[in-house]
Amino acid sequence: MLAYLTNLSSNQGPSILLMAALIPIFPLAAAAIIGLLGARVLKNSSHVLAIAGIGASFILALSLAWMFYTGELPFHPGVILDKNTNFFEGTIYHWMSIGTFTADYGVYLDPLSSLFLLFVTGISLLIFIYSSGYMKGDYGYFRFFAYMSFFVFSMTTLVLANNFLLLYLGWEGVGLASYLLVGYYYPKPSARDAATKAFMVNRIGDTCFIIAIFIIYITFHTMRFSEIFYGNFLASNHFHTEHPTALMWIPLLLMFGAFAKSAQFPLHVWLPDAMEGPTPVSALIHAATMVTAGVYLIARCMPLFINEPAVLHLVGIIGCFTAFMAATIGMCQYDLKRIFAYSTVSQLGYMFMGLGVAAGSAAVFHVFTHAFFKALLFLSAGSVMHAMGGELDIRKMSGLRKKMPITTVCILTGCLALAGFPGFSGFFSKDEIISAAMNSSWSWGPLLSVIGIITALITAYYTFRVFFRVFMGDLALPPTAGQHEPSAFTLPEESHGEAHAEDHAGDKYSSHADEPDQLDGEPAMWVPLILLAIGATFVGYVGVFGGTDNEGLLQSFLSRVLSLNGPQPYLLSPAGLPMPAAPHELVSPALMMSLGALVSIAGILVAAYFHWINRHAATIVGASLRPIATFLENKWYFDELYDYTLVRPLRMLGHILSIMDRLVVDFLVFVIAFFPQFIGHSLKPTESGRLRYYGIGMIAGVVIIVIGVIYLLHGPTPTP
Amino acid sequence: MNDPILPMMLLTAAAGGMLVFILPKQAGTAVGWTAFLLSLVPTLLGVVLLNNFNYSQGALWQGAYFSPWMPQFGIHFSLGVDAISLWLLMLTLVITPLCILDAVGRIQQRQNEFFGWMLLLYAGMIGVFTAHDVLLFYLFFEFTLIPTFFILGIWGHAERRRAAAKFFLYAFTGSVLLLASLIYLAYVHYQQFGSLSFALDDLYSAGQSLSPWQQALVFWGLLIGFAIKVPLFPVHTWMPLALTESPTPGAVMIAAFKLGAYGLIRFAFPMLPAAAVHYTPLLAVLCIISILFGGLVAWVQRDMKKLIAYSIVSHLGLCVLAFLALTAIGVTGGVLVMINQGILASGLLLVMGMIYQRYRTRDLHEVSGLARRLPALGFFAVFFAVGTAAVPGLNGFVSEVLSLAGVYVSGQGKYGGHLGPVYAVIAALGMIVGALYMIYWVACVIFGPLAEPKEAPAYDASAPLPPEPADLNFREWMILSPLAALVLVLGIFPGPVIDSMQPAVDEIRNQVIAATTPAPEQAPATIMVHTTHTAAASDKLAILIH
Amino acid sequence: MQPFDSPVLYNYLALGAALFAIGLVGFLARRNMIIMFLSTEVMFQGIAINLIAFSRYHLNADGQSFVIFLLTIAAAEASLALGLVVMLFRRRQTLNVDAWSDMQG
Repeated sequence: MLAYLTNLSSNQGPSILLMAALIPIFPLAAAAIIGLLGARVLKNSSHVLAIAGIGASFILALSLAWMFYTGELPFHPGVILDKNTNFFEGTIYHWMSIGTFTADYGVYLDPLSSLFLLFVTGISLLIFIYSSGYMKGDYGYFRFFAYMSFFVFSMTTLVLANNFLLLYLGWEGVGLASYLLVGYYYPKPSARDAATKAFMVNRIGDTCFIIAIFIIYITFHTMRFSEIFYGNFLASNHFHTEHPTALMWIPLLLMFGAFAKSAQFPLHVWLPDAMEGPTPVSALIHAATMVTAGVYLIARCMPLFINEPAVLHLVGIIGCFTAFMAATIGMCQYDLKRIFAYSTVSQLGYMFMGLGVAAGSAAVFHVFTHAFFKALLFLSAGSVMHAMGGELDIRKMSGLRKKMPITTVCILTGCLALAGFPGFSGFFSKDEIISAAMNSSWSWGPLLSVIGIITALITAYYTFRVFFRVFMGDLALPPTAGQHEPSAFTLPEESHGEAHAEDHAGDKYSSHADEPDQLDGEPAMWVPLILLAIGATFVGYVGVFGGTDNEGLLQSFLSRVLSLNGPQPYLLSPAGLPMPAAPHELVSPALMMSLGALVSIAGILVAAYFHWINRHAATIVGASLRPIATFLENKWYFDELYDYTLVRPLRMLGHILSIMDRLVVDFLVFVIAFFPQFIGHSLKPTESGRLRYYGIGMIAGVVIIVIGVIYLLHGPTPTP
Repeated sequence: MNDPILPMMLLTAAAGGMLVFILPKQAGTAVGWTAFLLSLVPTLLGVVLLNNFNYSQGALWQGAYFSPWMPQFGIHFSLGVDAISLWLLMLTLVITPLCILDAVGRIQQRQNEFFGWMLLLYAGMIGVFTAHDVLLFYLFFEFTLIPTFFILGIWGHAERRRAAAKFFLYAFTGSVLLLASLIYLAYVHYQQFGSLSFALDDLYSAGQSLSPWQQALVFWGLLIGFAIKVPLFPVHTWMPLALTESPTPGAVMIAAFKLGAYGLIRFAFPMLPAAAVHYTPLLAVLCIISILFGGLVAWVQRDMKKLIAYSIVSHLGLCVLAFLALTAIGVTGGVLVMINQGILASGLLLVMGMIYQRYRTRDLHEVSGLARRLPALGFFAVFFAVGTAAVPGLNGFVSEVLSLAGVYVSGQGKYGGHLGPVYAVIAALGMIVGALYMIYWVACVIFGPLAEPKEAPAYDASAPLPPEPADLNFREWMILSPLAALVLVLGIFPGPVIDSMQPAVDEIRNQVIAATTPAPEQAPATIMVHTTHTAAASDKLAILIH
Repeated sequence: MQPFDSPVLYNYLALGAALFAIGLVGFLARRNMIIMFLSTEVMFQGIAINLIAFSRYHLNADGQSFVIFLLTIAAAEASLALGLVVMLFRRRQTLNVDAWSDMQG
């Protein structure tokens, strides 16, 4: 086995490869140890190990990002270092290899992956700390942290992978983690069904992805990023004319894979249901990190997309449509987490729109800011849910600012960032995507941009609808407030004792059940909230200031990978590109910025009127627009559509085939078996049991044989 | 030089079986434990074999044992393993002791006979994967029927007799055709060289020398014999019944060892390459029907074991499709499907047996939410289920992706083979369906609100129903954890197995490709392979003649 | 010289054939189990005479030694068959062979 491990260590101090390799390994080790020992040994201190693992990974990710930022890349043996293109890769061991079909377990580091690593581990760390408070006393506490650590392992593997098959390992790994965590409260049928749905929808995308990998392999005869992107395939015109179909199908199928993972139309249906998982899961996996894997995939494979404008346009159009559709649905939902889930789908739509107009760095910038403010929003929603005893219906609560001051401030920050309020992080990143679309050379760009602005208006409205409903106005609490969420894990014979469960959090609140005065929860919960709030406010500036050439720090950091201005060997004909090298400015950036600010403020004001100042008006307007509202409340009837066009027919087909199997296939075999049986039956009367007949039969047989022998020996006329 | 390891394996298993038969009847569970310990002896010998095996020469038959048996008919007691057989043999050596361990204490009636038959079946399985003489292979192949028949017919569930009869008739019909084809091939050898021979390489050359028409005839004989065992659509209908009615250890023995697929890749394809290539499209369509049909039917089953039976039909369809691809990736992937699917199906069947032991039901609508009551069992169930659903990092993925990739690249340029992307894309839908039924099963049985049948239907009153279903005991841990470890190790480190298998895979592919490709169209390298192959064959013949 | 040209051999063969024919008719015509059994014995003897005759004619001892075997086996068979007949008689109190035709074998 040792022959398969190469160059893991070096005597010249910690090598980059080792550092990169350890980033996934720490959480994996934590997951394995918690999984093995959690039930008996670690129990309620499982989080310590998980936090330690992710903390170590975060430190490593930070130092790697720093190395990329400062440009100092120390050379170490076993590491392929290319100074011109600024990536390096190394192999840890051979996973599987037959001829050129080789997939190693290796790492591929460049600014893009180091940025993703940084915020994946950083936000995971905060959410782990939050979870240690949020999940306290939960049945299966250790299980939660084992799954979460496994998720971080998969996500970092996905980001670090140096070939498509390994990326697929991370890709399905995060899907599996998501499945297990959505189904964390598995005794609840809704959680179970949501988990199944998430897995299946993702599997559809994954199948497209794996076929794309096959095409990549047959086209390039390799699956390694470095050879595909920096080899002399994509740079040659000859290669493009030789494989026109393959080069069209690869991005198209990758796109479907990305759409399933990132919940884009038509594969978006799983994400809102995935909110059945514990709230930290929604924050980490279904908002901040995993769902952005699709964006990562397309950004990583930009060289494959860039010369296929048609596919890129499709990405943009679907992204734009999804952003709009999900925002409209978000307007008419009543479940706090579901609203944020649809806003996630909508924001992901923006990111794909950015990718569709070849503004990769703008899309990644939005991924970055979105991770902060959406994690913040979900965790705040989790605090609300925690305090309200599992109740999430925004119609049942109001004026919570009096009971939850810290949470209110945090969620306000998050809402402002999501709504794109000037100065907050979401404002800059969203604006960059919209103006990139506006100034794209693609003739549909301005149209997408306009829809993006309308969507921004809707976003500001539904975000602040939630805020004003829940945190402003008169105080109203649901009856469950202050109680701990009833456990889904109650065995029939235990249900009697559950009411008196010795639960720390439940104890604290039940003593003040009548008049809970402070519901923000414990420090482990609100400290990460404050840190995220600071992030959600300020991370936007890294995309505006601090870089070279009037760019943001982030953009110049990513420019070696994603910028179209740099010398890209794989760019074929600039004329066919969605965005030309020098954008012709249709609308000036300053104008776009002020337009965005205006729209955001307008949305907030509308929401303030209907949901804070005059809530009665909202009811009246809602009643007058009943058909539309019903349509939106039912999420454009996508679930029903899929149920009736896909799930039920397939299940019906399964039943029909099953019956066919019994009646037709088995019957055919029976028919074949019937012939020997028939012969046997037809000869049965000769077995009369009368000895005499047997004797006659024997004699007759002897006579026939004798005559036959004579005939054979002497011919037809025996000589006398 | 004769290596005694393989005959010793056979001997310990067979003699162990005889010994267990004559143990005193009142020994009780001691009989089971004895059988378990005896079954570990071949496993230990297997470790020695694994250690002695020369992995760089994977195409050679190693650990060879040769002793003349009926020389006038060219039948010899000839054992050996190449890299493909080696890993399949190892699978047998791991899974059978676990099966026996599972039966200890569970089987209460006629224990001597049960464990005796199990050990004899063990010997038969070892023989199938180690036989180098074709008639010897056939004898072992046939012999496995007898213990299975008795295990199924005596210790099975309510419809055991019908199941046993159906199983036996299907398998036997196939075997008769198989035997006729093999004897015909030996006769062809007699016509050409004046002596009968059942040596593998002789029959390779005998089969390859036939005209396409004769090949087709013989091929269908072999194909039907093996396809029934695989089982491939449309001759799969014995499988659901046999698996459902069999006691858990017997079901595992039926499900885990892919004798049919082994026969196809070891005998049918290399012996009759022209026919195999000619019928590739037809067979590929049958395989794809197996994949999708099996998957969809598995999804709507109420009986858990039936679900597994159809899932085997589905996965084995992919296995044979990958063989048909005839690319290095595909054939390796197909062999890995045999190994990995064997492990995963065994794990799932054992888990289902443990559920059955606690609740006396196999109906997936009658139990639900078991993860709450039996967390450890739930863990293993989900683990094996996602392994079967081909989640990467577990072994199911490695075999599935290699098979599909093998089919995809087949027929394109340097990869060889006669299939193509269309087959791979349709077969890839099997990945969706495969996840569908496994995840559905988990959702029904492991997740969801806890529901336990109150009154167990008591037709098998011999084994006591525990009053409070407890989680896995130590013995059950010992059964499931080695399998789970294998699933993980083969998923993360499949490299050694894949690499060691390459020479053997290339040898089989060369047999087919060299015999079906007209020489002028071939690249020089392949011609060389062709000529060296024939030279090697004639050398071997010379040795045999003298 | 053809075998059938020899008058002595011809007589013996005729005797054997006659015995065989008598036995055969007896076997087919009678229903009493003991008589049927005796008829088979008569057929046996017809064949034995054939064997001995040819043996003498060809001056080859094989036929005679074969007949000795045949007689021995016939004796063993007779004891077995009569035992069976006694058993069958005890079951149904009849020697009529048709009483057992319901066995269909």
